[in-house]
Amino acid sequence: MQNRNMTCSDRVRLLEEIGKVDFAMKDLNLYLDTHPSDVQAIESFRYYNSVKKQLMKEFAEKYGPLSLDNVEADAREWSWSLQPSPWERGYH
Amino acid sequence: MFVYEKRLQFPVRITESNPEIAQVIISQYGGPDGEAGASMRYLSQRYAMTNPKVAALLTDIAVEELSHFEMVGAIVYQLTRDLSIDEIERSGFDKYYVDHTTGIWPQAAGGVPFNANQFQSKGDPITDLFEDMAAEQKARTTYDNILRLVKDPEVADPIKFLRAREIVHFQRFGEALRIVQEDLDFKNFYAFNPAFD
Repeated sequence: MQNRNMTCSDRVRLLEEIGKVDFAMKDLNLYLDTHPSDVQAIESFRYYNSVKKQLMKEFAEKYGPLSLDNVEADAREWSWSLQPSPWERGYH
Repeated sequence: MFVYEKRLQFPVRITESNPEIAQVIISQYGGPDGEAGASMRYLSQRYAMTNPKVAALLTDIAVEELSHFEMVGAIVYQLTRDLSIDEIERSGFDKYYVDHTTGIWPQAAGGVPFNANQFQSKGDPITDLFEDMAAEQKARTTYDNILRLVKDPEVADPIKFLRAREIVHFQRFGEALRIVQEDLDFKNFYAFNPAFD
């Protein structure tokens, strides 16, 4: 069952972890645009991408989806629009 | 096509309202070197970028700028929560409040509204990339100016993150310019518009 407790420390920790992993991906993304043959950077991107997918799935199962890709197939209510917005105090 | 993720690129957690500093930071929302102009500039310039690597870079940086636009909006929003009429009057926020209450609207710190004249899309990759490098430096200078005025670490931390990203974008645009120049041949020694001629 989803726990919508906004101040839950596990929720904030998981959100922060997703932010860090996605930041690594974003920085590698821009670097790879101008260095498309750097196989080491491509390998790093692949690694962070798989970690992010896992974390996004875990977050969705526990606290609701951060992206429409992660909406539960058997959901009985539309948690996407029931959760607070990320610019609100206490979200992050 | 764009997809949304329901989170900020870097967390914004501001507990103390501060309408004085909100009026300064709003310049990076809709001011001359702000995030609205940055994202619109790069999204618009893409069509004239003949090199696919550079077109991809403009897209990816534009998308990050949209995340920054959202972050600056969140900073101004959290700085203007729960204000009393007395605080609004004393802080000078009354001039903004009369038109927008505490809604978020793209303007410069001096009240000048966001305007597409704050950026160019010249249809010339070399011209546009020089503008992009200058734009990143101007945004970095603005964040430095803001950081001299900000005392609260809860406000300074996300501003420092945004400042650092301007430096990374400047670096990437420098590489993009080199890529475009390497595409030129001896007949275009002076680097006139490689997209049109």
